Amino acid sequence: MAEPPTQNHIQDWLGSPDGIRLLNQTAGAVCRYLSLYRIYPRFFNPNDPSISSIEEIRSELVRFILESGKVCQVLTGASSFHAKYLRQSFIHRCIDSVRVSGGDDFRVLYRAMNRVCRESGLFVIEKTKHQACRFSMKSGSLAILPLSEEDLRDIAFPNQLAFDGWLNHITHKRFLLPVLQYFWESVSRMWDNQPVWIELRAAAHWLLRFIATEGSRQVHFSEEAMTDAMFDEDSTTASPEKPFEFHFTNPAFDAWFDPDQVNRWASIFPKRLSDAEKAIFYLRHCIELELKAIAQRLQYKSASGPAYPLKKAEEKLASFAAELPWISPDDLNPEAFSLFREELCAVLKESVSAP
Amino acid sequence: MTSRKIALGLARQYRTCPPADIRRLSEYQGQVLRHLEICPDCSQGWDDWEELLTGCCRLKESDYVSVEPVAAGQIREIRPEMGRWKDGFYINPPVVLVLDCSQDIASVAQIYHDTTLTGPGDVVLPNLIGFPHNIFVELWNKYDIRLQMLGEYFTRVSSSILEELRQIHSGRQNPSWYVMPRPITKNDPRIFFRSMEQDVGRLFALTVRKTLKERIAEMTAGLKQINVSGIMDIISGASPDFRWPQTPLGDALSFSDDASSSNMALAKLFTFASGELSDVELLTVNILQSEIIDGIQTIGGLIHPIPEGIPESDVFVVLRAADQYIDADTIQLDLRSGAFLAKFRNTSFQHGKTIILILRSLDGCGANA
Repeated sequence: MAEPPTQNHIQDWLGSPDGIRLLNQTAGAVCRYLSLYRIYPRFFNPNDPSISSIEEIRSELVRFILESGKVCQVLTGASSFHAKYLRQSFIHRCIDSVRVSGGDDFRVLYRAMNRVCRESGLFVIEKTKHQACRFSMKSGSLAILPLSEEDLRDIAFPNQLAFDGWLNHITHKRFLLPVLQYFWESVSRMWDNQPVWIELRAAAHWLLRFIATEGSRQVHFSEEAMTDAMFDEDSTTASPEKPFEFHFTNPAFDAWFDPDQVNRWASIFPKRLSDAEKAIFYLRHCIELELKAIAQRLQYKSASGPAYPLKKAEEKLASFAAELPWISPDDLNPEAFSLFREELCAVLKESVSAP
Repeated sequence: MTSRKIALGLARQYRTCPPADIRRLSEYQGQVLRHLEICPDCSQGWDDWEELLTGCCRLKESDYVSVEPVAAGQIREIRPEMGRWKDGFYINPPVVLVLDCSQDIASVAQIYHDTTLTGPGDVVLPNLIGFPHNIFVELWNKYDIRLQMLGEYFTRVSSSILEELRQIHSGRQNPSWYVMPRPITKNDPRIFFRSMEQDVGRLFALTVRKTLKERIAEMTAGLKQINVSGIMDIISGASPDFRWPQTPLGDALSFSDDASSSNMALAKLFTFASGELSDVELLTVNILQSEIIDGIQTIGGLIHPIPEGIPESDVFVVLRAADQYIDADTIQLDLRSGAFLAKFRNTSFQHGKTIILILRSLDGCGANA
């Protein structure tokens, strides 16, 4: 086996004109990706998706490649399997970087949760081999993978928990204890009612989702004020001068979408359909004809004739949309979907009426 | 914390977008253009991670070539040159775990590396020596491939882990390192991920043909009213010249002889809808080739027109001689043109009648569902 290149070799190459060119191209692709999915890590300014953003991403890429021995190991793997893995790792890193960029808010909440867990006697808490803290309400629980965005989205805020909007109450034991209990039970239910270990940071991320935002930035709460008030049962004395404007929001609802992207997808999708599928899909979903009428119009013997191509086209649409934001059922944005449908029908009309 | 939706998008790029070296080949320009038309990711411009990393890799003096013989427990890639175009997508060969191997065939399970997408039947492997990724084995996505299709050897799992994987798969016992995936939910991106993974595997799998009986059993799985023999009765009733012989059903199909000539095959399309056989149609099939090549009986022809919505795996080519039947060992089918090539290792049926049976489900419970 040849000697693998050292970190210095890689660093030199990344600084060469060839390396910079490729880094810029990669950063451009990452930039497009982050904008599309609205992933805004600390090194990316969504309001300036221009040269400076790309440069920022490029620097982050170089850091990503050089700082981890693991990444260097992957780099020298000479396999497309490793190569494509890196893209995923980097995008996941961007997502993680968004989450912790709340910084103080997250850290304060995490520490408060950690203390509540340890001191309440209701939970078992331990460190994983990767040094992450995990908690459970039962010993001998099952290990599970870190919770995903979708898992967190499936857990609604418990309406029965009163919350008066005072900053210090967010981290108060009286509030956090039932919240953690509710969170654990919800996750356990998602795993077929089995007792599970949950990473504590997931609970903090989940709770932060319900805290109202000011502009694009989460409300910042001071660590000092928090720490003082955290475990004081009679916290009224430690209350800040005025209550913060906290609102529990529905994080799944986000009115923003990118109409250009939605239009682009609407023009791509019909190209995946056969001519018969296009015609039938158009008549059913744009003109809203019944199957029988479609069969007559397209000279099928019976209504079951167009049923299969229609089903195929609908399946293709579900599959196409599954990876895209705003137009699939799990995070549907009604306005975006309506635009998608309108544009799709316009494109189909053109292709169906073409000779 | 990651998003399954984003992970699905990345997985699709990973599995089905053409890599840089394929995109550059002039012979593929037609397919590349087609891909650009239908891929929401590539149509935005190519991603250049690969070139970036290839650049880094060039710093090595030479590539390491594995000479390690294939053995159970190894994690290997299917050779990159086995990648294939399919309907405008370039299917990149996956990495697999070798579960078992004989002289020329390996039984493998597909591997993926973004654990966000794990679901029931997937097992995240404990830390692997010399391997930087967390990966999971799709124990539900196993198939056989020829040994020579296996390429680079990355690492291996120990024989005890291999045994533990078998235990997990059989539902007997989960080892302490086992990580429980969340059950699949409604509108779960993992549904689409699994469908893609299955399609990828199917493309590289040695086509070990399921018997007709197994396929009917699959198509009717979940139906309470009609069991497999019920469906067979319906087929018999709907098609009087179709009789089920007494021999084991998987190998046995019967048609009357009158409809055939040497360059025509007996072919029928059975359509199932709502758990019932809704239609039986005779199809025209021309046999263009029937010969023994390298000791293998090879039959090629054209099903024209090919009915829409037929998965490749639901086309059965059977040879019949003196009331004995054999299923083809492999079938290649071009779903656009209807051209097919069936191969039989057993050559003693070379003068037999060719029978083609196509199953179509309108309920989405077919092999591609």
